[in-house]
Amino acid sequence: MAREIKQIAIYGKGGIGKSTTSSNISAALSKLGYKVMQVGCDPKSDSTNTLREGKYIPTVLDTLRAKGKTIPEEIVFKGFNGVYCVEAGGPAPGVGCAGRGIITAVEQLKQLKVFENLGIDVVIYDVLGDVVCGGFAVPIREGIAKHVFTVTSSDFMAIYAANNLFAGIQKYSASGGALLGGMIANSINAPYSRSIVDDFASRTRTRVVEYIPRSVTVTQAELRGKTVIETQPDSAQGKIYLRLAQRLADHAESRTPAPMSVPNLHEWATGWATELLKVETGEVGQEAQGI
Amino acid sequence: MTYIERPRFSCMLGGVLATVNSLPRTVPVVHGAQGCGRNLSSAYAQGGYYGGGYCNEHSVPSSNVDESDVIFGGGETLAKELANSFEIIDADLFVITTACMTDIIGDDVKSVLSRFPDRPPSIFIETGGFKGDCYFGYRRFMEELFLQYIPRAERGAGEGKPPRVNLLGLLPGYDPFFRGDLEEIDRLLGRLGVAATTFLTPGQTLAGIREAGTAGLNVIFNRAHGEELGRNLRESHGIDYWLADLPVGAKASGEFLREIARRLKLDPAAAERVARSETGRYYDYVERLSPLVVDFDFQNYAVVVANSTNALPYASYLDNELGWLPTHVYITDQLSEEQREALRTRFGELAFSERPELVFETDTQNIQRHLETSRPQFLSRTYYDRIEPLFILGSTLEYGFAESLSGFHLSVSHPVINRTAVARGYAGYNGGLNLLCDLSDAQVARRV
Repeated sequence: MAREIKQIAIYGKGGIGKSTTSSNISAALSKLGYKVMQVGCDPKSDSTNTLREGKYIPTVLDTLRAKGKTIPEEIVFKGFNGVYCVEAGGPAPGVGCAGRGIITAVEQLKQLKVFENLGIDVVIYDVLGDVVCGGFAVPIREGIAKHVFTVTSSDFMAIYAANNLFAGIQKYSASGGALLGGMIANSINAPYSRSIVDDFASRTRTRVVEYIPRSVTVTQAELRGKTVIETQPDSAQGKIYLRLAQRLADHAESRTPAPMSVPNLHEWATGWATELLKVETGEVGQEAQGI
Repeated sequence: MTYIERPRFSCMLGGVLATVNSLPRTVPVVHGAQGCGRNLSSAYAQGGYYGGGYCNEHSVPSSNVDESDVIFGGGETLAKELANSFEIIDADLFVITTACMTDIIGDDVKSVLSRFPDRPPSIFIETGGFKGDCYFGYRRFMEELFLQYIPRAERGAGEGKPPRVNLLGLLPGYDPFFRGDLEEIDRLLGRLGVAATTFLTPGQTLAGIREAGTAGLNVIFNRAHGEELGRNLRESHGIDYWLADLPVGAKASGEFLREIARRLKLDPAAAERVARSETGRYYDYVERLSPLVVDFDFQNYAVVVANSTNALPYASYLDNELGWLPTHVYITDQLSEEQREALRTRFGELAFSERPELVFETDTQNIQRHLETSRPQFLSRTYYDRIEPLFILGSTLEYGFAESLSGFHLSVSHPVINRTAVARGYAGYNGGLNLLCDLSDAQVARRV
């Protein structure tokens, strides 16, 4: 029987830190001894930059466009600590159909059997922001990835995007689509941030697998085109990523989330706005309120 | 679940291609996948085999986009196709169309076209099939033809010239007898001294079509889409419009001529003179056939299965000209409630000695089911509670159904694949005689 490859898709609102988180997870997994491949599913094609010292790699779609076919050597590149890097690529902004591009690129990887041939243990798909069309749902829809994790901060728009993703997962869950592994809370520094994300998690029947604080260590590493795992693996931030990677490696069972309806989500957000106002005006101290 | 079984119409692009196919020295270019142009030309050809246009039936220049065009945009592929088409094809008008997938990915066709500043006259229209059916495609194309190609008349441009009308609303292929119909209406108008632009019949020129802006009236033989077409052309070119039924037979044609005279403020006596002379000739022929009709009892229960353009005029002819008993009128295009209401209203205004049932149904099997259920007497055997004979005027899809009821059948609506249309038409006085002839033929055809 074929060895099972753990395939994980990471979604979240644009700019929330998906690529940073994905790359650090990939680097950390490789440190833990796993053979890892990271697949960037975003036309920007910069998901794997920090695994390759800030350098861009040729994308699957560019290669396909230029040559009409691809071979693994032209689309799979080794990065930090042997992490395999692939960028799906896509059209120029405002042209063509990026969603179809993702579908085609993922199909190429399947056809070439790169995961099997390279003996990959874990595949991380880093997927563009919102699930804007069918193409971006492919990693969760086609039975490719089994587990989905969403990166979110406590900002409303990030949570809104996460909620949308949950709706997508719920839709495909009945037909063998991927299920939700949990949320990765990013940029969690203020105490209330954690409470907001926790509250959202409990209402949507999911869980938070890790809280990642905003840290200058990340900024320093990124400016050097590297992951924290490469530059400061022993830092506090590095340890968080290692712990998260271990949790993902151990993660076995994902679930169907229960997304909120849009009116409910807005009502929920308004409730939190009132709470935060009380904190701001000093009516309630953060410690006293437990947030 | 709803679905359309054995459909009688195609998509917006299909309607546009069918129309462009009949314009003189005009060639369509499809920015779409390989199948669209080819398959849609097969679909409209099923309207009595009406054949190739200026660039031949199946020779539609197409960008044939593939997956790479979908992902990265098909603009460059279209540019290549346009460059070659403009170079190779000797046409006076190009119609650049799109298809579902190029519309979905949002290719910017206008900017590609702007790269050809010295191109021949070209019309661009977005025709993604999901936007509507072929009748909608016809409407939108005619609007764009007026907007992009036909100049709006200067004030007083028509002075000193014979009054002019445009004949609109018949969709090539899907109205299989459009050419014969248009030629006959043109002939009748000519007798009144009215010039007509038919757009789609032999002898039309692009120079003539560009004069359509000087018309005083748009006569639109289509109640489902005509209102909107008329309104939009009135807005763009200031031309009044009239939603007319296709006049089939002497009575309807006489009324048509009188109404045209009234709307164009022509001498009513002139219209009367033309009607009288046409009517005389018409009934001379009818009379010659009457011994056959009477002696062999060519009186039928009739069922009409046709699109919203033709169904009511045909049914009305059967009752008012032939004295048959139309029991059901099935309208087969997909219509909005508003469009249905307009047709119901018109149906209510038409005189019938015994009013048939008006049914909106797109599915061939449901038409059969409905007729058999609502009038089981058609099914019963001789000497039982049977009503006969039955005559179905429908598409070729009703051929087997008519046989199963031991009825007669004539293909008059799309798809018509068991006969050819050529110059045949059912409009006007000649059309009425043609229909009488064809209905009679169907009844004597087995006498050998």
